[in-house]
Amino acid sequence: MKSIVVTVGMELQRMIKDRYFLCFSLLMPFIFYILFTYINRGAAVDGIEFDYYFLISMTCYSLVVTSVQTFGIQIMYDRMQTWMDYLFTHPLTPSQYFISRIITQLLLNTLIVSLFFLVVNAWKQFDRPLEEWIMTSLWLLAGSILFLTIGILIAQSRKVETASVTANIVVLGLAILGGLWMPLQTFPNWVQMIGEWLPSYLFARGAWTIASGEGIEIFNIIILTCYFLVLFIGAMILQYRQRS
Amino acid sequence: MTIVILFHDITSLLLVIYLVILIAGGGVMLRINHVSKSFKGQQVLRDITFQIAEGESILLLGANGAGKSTLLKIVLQMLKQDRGSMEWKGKKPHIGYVPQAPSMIGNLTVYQFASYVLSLHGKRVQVLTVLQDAGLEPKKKVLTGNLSTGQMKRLLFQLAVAVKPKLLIMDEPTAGMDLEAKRQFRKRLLDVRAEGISVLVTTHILLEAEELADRLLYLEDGVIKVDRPIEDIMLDRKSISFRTDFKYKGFLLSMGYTQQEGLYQKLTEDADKELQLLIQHNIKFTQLEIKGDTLEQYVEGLEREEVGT
Repeated sequence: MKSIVVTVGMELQRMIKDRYFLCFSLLMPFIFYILFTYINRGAAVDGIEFDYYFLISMTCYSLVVTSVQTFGIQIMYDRMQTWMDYLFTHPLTPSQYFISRIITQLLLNTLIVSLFFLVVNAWKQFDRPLEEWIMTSLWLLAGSILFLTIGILIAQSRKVETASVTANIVVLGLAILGGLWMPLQTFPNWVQMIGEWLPSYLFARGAWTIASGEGIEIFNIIILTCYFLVLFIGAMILQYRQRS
Repeated sequence: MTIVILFHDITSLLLVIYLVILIAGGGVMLRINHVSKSFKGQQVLRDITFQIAEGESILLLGANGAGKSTLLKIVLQMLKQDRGSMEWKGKKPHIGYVPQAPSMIGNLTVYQFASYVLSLHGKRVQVLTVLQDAGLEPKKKVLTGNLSTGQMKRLLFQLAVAVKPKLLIMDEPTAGMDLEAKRQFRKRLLDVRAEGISVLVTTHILLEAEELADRLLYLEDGVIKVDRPIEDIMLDRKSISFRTDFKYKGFLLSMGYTQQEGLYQKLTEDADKELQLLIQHNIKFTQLEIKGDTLEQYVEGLEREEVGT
């Protein structure tokens, strides 16, 4: 337990200084938010004011980027650069290390959600109850675990270049086709049909339905759970193969 | 009183005690039994068997690709052997490790990095002492990514020994260090040995190894070719040299001597026999010198044999 606490502390120190994280996970979604809410000022999507709808979209986008790209590529680098081998000569097992990394990432995800919600709400003054903020935050944090498994899958690549390209394609695909950059309704029908089945869309949809007062659909939870199980089992198989 | 009479001096007594412990098996920390490893069908280690005694320092040598790093990684359990076993005396102890190419995470400061590693061992209070011993206290706020290879190795070495491992594994520990750092490293390593820590080290600087290691393990194509005490090696092969009359040149060259500016020289495993032979043939010589082989010469001989095969 002590090893996990110490490793989480170290990883947090490391991540907070990571320019990639600061730029792509915090700064870029925030700039997108300012830009898109300015262009679409006064608009609404599915009965939700665009400023709030897009706050959910950009928070989801930031969580996807951090979990898939930053987390996945960093694990890949650590593995390639013998850092992990060195670490495991100390009182830290591979499972303790991965648990520490996942806890760190969940803490960072909490930081992202809190930062976006607090800063944007202070600016836009949304009239929404505290329970809704809490419910939405918990949904986003729980859902982000699914994207961490995608990050772990990408980290199994044999080359850093392959991992980097794959992560970029996956993140862009999930963000654009999942309706995180623009509402899915603005796309042609066939794109919408694909997008509706993507985990990024289902992830954000859970938060949007909380905002519209409908609550999270069971179907949404089932599909996301299936995605999680398939990806998690896939990641474990790949990890086992790589070790053996 | 009887013991003193029997063994004449304390060194012999200690040697006998050491041998008795070794024979009894009590001093063996790790036994490696018939370990083999292959990657993608290519055999890297074959039937490796040796043991590391408590407090013993082993020098692991071999040409590039001989399997040294693979063997170190198996001992460190970074890799799993295909066949064979490793038996630790009791519970597997903590192993200190100084890697060959320390590619550490770059965005932690030297202080944060040392603090993290020591915290894993519950020894965070020692951070400043470790940094001082590594000569890096003034650089404690520098990012580890900005340290030179030599500085990073100094830090890793001090971190490895600070947590009092039972076994210290070092892969080319002095590569990238400047002369002063090497001098300090040797001094510190002698202290480590005095503390009874076993050492398994690979290095290319053999002059250091003569002083710092007890035993040589020489790997060739994944097989242990030599496993001998270094003292034996240095006593065993000797260089015999002398000056003599020109008329003996043909005979001496036929006996394997080399001649340079009137000085005849030969490496031999039995200097006494060589000397008797010279006397039997009535060869008059002057400036006779018999010197022990250096480890460097011995290893060069092994490498030449390897190239020859």
